[in-house]
Amino acid sequence: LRAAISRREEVGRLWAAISRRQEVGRLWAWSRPENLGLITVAAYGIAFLIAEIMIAYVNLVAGAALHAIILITAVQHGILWERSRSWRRHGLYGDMMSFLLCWPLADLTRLAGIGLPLDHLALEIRPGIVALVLEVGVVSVLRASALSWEDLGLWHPEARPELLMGAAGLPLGLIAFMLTSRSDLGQTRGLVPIVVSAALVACVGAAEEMVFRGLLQKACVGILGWVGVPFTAVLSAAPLLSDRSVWVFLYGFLIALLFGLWVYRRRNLMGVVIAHGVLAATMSVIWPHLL
Amino acid sequence: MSSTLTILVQHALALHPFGKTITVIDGILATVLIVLLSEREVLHSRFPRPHSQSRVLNATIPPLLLAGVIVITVRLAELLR
Repeated sequence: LRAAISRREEVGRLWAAISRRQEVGRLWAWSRPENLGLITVAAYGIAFLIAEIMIAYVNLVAGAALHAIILITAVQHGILWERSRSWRRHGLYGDMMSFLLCWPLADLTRLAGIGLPLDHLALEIRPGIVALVLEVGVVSVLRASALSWEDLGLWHPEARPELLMGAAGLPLGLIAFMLTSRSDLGQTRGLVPIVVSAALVACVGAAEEMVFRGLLQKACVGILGWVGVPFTAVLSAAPLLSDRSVWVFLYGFLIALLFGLWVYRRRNLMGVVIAHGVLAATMSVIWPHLL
Repeated sequence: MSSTLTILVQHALALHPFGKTITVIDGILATVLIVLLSEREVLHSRFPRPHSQSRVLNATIPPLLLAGVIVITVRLAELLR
């Protein structure tokens, strides 16, 4: 009887060991390199969205703090990834490295937008300072990744489609102006201040396009495939949650998706950089003066 | 450099020509910058020359440093005005 009981216990232990191994196997299957890339990108994306929801609906400071935490986490993650030897030979290494190089810039874009103390400066030059910070960020990422402006997508293929895309910024800006509330820049008086503020706002739009479509979308597409296009569109439209309007968010998402698909198919950023610049300038400065 | 910047940031943030919220967010920006600069110092001191550089830090620090300089300059200019 004792022998039978001990054999039964032994069989039970064996079964437990087998099932444990199966569970570990299932977990191991989930942590395959392809899934690791997906999980990492999704985790950063969800954290970014939570930070934006906090800025819009809970507390501005709490959202900014979360952006700062994500930024520091991404940088630490990037440093660890850079020094990992086991991943170096894997195909995911380069894609993840590009993603981790570009990601802090997305959080920095947001922090620079809400955190710089520009209230006491002239209204016209405020966008220029934000654009300068973003441009320095883009140049730094390009230098750190050993990429050229051509790699970013700023090269000259056929001019006509890109110019047409750029001109689409005019009607898109008009719709955006009708959807959003009036901006402070619409109160600017005098031709020179209007032209200066329109040019500087256009620079912010162009810089945002370089950050999101030029750098981040490319890195996300490397890991997620075509899903990277809508993923980046959601991220770039997320700051519009601050307007607390579903229509503004949806409109921003659709424009970002249109720009993303354009860049994905044509591998050229010129058209959307012009379009976003024109959209931002007309929405904030030109249309408020004309209408 | 980090400690000098910390002192500068503390002095700049101690001025109150701006609202409380923007001051706290500036403090967050400054904290991020100081953490990253400290991280770079650690890498420089712990690793031999070829490994002491980090591409991620090199990409992130310049725009943050510029943002920090803008914060300090604007706040000091407000004080002197």
